[in-house]
Amino acid sequence: MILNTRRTVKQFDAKKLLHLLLITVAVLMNLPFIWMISTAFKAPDEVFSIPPKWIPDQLMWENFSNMWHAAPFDIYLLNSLIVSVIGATGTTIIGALAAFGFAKLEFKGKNIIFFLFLMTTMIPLEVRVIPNYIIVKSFGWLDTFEALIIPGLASAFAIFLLRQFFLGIPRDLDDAATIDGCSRLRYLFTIILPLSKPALLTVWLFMFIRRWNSLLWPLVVTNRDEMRVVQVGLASFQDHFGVEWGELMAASTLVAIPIMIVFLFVQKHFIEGVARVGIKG
Amino acid sequence: MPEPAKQQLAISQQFAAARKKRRLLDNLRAWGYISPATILFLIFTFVPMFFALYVSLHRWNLLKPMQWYGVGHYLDALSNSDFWNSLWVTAYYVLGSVPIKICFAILIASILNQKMRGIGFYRLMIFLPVITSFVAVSIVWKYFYNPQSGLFNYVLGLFALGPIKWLQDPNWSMPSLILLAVWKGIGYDIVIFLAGLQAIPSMYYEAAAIDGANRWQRFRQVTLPLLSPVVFLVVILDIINAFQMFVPSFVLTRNGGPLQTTNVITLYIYNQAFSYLKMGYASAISYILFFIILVFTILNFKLGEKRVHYQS
Repeated sequence: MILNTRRTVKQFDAKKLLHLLLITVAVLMNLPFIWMISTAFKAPDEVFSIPPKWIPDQLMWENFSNMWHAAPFDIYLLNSLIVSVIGATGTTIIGALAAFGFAKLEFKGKNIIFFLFLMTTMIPLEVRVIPNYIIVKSFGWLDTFEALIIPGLASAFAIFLLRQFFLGIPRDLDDAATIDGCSRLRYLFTIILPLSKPALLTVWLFMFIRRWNSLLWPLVVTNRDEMRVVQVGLASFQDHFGVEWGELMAASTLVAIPIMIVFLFVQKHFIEGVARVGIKG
Repeated sequence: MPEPAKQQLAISQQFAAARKKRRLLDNLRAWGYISPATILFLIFTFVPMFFALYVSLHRWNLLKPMQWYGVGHYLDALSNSDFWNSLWVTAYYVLGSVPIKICFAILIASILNQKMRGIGFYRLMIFLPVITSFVAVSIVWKYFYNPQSGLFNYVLGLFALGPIKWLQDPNWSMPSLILLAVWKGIGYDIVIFLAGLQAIPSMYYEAAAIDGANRWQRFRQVTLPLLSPVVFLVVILDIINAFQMFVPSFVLTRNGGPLQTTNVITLYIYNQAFSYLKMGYASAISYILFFIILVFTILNFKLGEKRVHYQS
């Protein structure tokens, strides 16, 4: 009896200690974000204060308006939104079609084509960036949305994840649909896709985030300020306003926070999607 | 041949023809579904692969016509000290960031892998840096690393250490980028390891506990072997990713400074191609990068086959 109580007490303390440890890790991991937001509201003299101030004396909203006036962030944000929404939607549709083909249909060359699709993940963007730049240039696409959106539309990751999900939908359903005379396309749109909402949402969000955060490709194919996306805009803003930490942090907040908010709504599906793909490779 | 048998043959021939036509149609339909992705991969992945090889064998600045140069660019690269420097810098980054990330990720994932409240919350908190813009967080870290007013030197100062010049010190510049990379990417590894740990059946632990194995022994003898396929996969992914690092060197240390100590290979390629318009040379370097990544992947597979324990 006594032994038992002591054991529970010990376990209870261990749990508490564990939570304390994990909370410390969680706070440390998010310290940069807290620091970013707090600095975004600091007056210039507070930025350099020692010891550092976590909560500014008064909120400097001017940092945001200064930053907004110094560079066309409204255009950058709009461009990024257009590229990310169209890009993510396109990749999801193209990915779902291909995944349906691989998961539910039989055709010649299926395995070899699937293998070739997976191979594309082995070819780094950095290897493709020069030839793709030349191809896009020869199409006359430099400084256009076509250049920003189209080259990344097909994603092996999207196809792989959706195929895994479609494979999990029972074969009985396929057979029932065939017997009922349901066409393949109708079967995809009325049965498979509605059943796959979580997977589709995960892929869409994954692609949205990837598009929103990408720097190298937009940097290469856009020159004019009107065609810049947020990452390129932020990088060049940093070049010109390198020491205005308040404004810089305001701009970083503007670029980083929307994604974090969107992410919070669907994070569970998303993280599980990452884990699933990681495990099954 | 009697009449009915002839008829039967004709009918079965008709059926065979219909079946063949049907099969062809089914094939065409299926190809229809995969064709958008196939065409896109063809134009923007497979053709560029060969095109890059072709360009790498020529001198080309986009303005004048291409000039055949053979393997000259590859030889030029091998005798170019800037190229070797960027290769070593990249290797430093890969060797510095991947092992640290893997070790801490396994540690944190095994701490997280137990039945308790708030797991979802901790997992989310650790994952947030992964989805955040690398450009934005690089700017925040640049501020952390500021020698005068940065947070790191302030914290070091509390322990009467430092100050360190971080990004401006050639000895500290790469470790600074590695620290940032570990923070940015560890959440991804943790999530995958956590899923891998949760897939290990608890009966193995119970059996080990009955045999009197302590915590460390259970970790060493049960967890690690059963997790090894996942570890092996994450290592490959991390190495491939680390070889392609670009944003921190571009944003934090701008042109790979100080003294070229952060001029990673992708930044080198970028500058050769888009600052100096040496398309041929840059393509050759990118091909070398591609082969290095390929060799690593194959090597990992070979090693993996021997060492990794797969559950049957």
